[in-house]
Amino acid sequence: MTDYEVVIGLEVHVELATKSKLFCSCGTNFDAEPNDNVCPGCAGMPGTLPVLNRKVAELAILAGIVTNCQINEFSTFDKKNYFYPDLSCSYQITQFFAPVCTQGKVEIEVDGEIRTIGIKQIHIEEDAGKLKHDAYNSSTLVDFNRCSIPLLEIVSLPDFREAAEVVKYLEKLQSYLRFVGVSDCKMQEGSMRCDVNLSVRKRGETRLGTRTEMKNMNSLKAITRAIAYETQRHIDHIENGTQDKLIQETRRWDDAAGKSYAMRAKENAQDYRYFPNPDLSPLHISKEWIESVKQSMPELPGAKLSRYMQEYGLPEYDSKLITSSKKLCDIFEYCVTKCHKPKEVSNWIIGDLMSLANTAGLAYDDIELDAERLSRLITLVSERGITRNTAKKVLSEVFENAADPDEYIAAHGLGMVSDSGELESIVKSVVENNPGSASDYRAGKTQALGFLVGRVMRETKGKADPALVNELLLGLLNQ
Amino acid sequence: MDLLKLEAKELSRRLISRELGVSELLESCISKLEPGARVFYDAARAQAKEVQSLIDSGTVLSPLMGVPVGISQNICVKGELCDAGSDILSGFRPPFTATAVERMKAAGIIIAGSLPGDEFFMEGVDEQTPAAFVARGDVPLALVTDTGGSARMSACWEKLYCVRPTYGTVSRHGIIAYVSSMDALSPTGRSLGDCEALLNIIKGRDPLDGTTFDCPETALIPGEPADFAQLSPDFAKYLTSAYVVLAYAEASGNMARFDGIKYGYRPEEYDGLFDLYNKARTRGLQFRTRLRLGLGALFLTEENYSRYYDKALRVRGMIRNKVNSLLSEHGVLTMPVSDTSLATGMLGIEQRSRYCFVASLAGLPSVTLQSSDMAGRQLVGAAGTDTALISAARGTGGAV
Repeated sequence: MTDYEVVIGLEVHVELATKSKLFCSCGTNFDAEPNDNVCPGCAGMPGTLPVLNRKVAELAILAGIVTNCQINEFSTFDKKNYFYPDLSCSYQITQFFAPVCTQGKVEIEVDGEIRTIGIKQIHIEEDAGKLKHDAYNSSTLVDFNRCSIPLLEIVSLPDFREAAEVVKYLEKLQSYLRFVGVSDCKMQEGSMRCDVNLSVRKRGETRLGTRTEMKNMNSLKAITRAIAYETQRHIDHIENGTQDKLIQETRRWDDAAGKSYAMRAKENAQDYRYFPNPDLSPLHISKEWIESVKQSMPELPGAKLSRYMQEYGLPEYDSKLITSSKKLCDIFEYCVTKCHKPKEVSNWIIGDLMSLANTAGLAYDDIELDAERLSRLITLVSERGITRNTAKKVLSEVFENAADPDEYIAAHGLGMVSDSGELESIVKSVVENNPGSASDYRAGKTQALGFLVGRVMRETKGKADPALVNELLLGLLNQ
Repeated sequence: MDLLKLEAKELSRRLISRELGVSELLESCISKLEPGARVFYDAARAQAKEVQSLIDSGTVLSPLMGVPVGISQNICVKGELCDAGSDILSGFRPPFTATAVERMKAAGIIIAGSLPGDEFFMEGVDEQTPAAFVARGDVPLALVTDTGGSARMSACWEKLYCVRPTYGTVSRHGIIAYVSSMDALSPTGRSLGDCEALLNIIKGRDPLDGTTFDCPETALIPGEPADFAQLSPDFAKYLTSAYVVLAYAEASGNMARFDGIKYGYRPEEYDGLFDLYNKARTRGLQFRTRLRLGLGALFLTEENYSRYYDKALRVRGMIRNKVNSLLSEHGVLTMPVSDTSLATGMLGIEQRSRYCFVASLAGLPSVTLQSSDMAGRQLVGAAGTDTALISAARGTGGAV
């Protein structure tokens, strides 16, 4: 392995977070019934014309900014021609001749070392529909809902030398694109897809080896496994002297089998007959437009990190953890606005929320939690309405079942016994029923107090405010 | 006398002054259109009633209010059969209406029906052209697509006028595309005034066509009109090649959507996907069309792109520059409409139309004059001079 060097380049597709499609006003919601989000335009009817959704251009500018790209003043829309029933017009509109962004770079940290990955280009393109094979009727149905959904393809240079770099790069893209609202970048749901171009050569060799392209990895784990498998496959061919069998081709990753399979060879590649689409004028992006997008750009993780430390006095450790995820930042900032206790909010997020997510095997960005409910919970604790332990239980209910804290507490009788009259009588009866412990305490065995507190808590099913119980007990015992 | 042989503006004047009824005029138009055209019976009759009541209430919408107009069969009207003369679109009823048609309706024009032509209105040399219906007096005015000169040539042969507007001033939304960068809706009528009035109604930016813009009216630069011969000697040769490459290539893209899957003709039996494509397109498209699309696809292959398509794009740029620089000195360029000296044949139409390619490739306005010979005469002006060009044509007496 160490005798060989693996060279990897990535093509990352992200689905843009727009309300309407790239070239028509149809909706983009994921849960629509087949062919609900379809109009004559995206169904490819003659007589219709594509009209660019300006929001897409704005998101492309944002993607260009966070990847340090040159954002081109003019870019073109071109037709990529091929016949397939999921492609309503029999061509895909993409940016082949002049993409919107070029020459970018993304810095990643691997093993404590900063490495730079070059970005060749970012281009805008439309997605195709979906075919559904109906085995029962031996027919194939077409769903055009995804036709003309806007995508960005981010093409890197072949700058990766190991899977760890690939993972760091994808995590960074995910994080940044989410922060600026370009895409939700969910690999499982396909809103972020990654094709891996890989070749292997002997260390020291300057020429690149035969390159294969792998598709269909839907998690970072799958990508890591696919790279390991494909690298070994290349090395085996080189070691066994069967390089002639290693051909330039597209391969499909089968995560269940842990193997890649040949899809199509280069010589069978289609001629896409690209040409400029005369129905769309070149996209003109002025300096002023870029500037105004920059002005209104949401805060990036780096800026948030230093602001959390300076403005909120949060420790670096807390700030780093929270700013690793846009969702955590959103929850944090909402709760701080409501509760004004940054460190307390941070403790809830880092100590409780993140461990709940870890237990559930959920990525932090996939946490679905109404920040209002967490802030309410924190308020309930700080206003001494309920104990922290009860609050933790409630949080897990809020997290798992989207429970409303106030309703849940009321329904399960978790509210504290804060009526001191009621509590006083409980304390009195506990002291009376445990005369031994009471006299032990009075004799100087202070640990006996703990026992009595425990008894009171048991009587109140944990609903008593421990501070108040202490106060009442001491009052009674010291009489 | 034959009412429908009057100018459309004169008919509208009589309708507005209530010398004539809108439905009455429409019915006489319908009875004449019936054999060859597709009459929009219900929609047109309902529209006639509405427009009549507006007239009765004293509302005047436009100088063509109440006049029945025909449209070529590649212009979409919601719910009306629209097959562009092609079997592959048999039964296609668009669920939307072309912007130009919406604007005509808003101006009180009655959309009487659609007029046939050759497949996708590529050539304008079929026995039945929209112009022939106007010339016979079946309908007073028509809106027809002109790509490489088809509308101009058929208007010329029928001794009518045709105005091809500056590219981008009239929306192509709802036009079944042949060549996106050259298709232009061109009024074809009995008088320059009728064509001008219709153009004024349909022009202007349309949010549904991103290539449209509001073009400021521009005056013609005064000067002695230039002749085609004043363009460079090789001009004619390059003109035809550039047109053929760009037109066929764009058509191959636009018409790839006719795949037998979504609408129009689908063979009853087929063996798998590629057989379905093959049968649908072989049977649904005429040979001449398939030839054009096949050549167009060939011009675009990776191997041929720079040799043909890209070169044609560059030639188009040179043509545009050359014509514009000539126009900046002379104001108007005059030339025949068709080249009658050249042979006909499979691609003969492209050679006969070559003069028309100047305006098509350069995106410039062109006005044809009435002519006693087959060659005809057209005036080409700079972008935005459409109205001025019509006035100039009127100055020549509108005829040669």
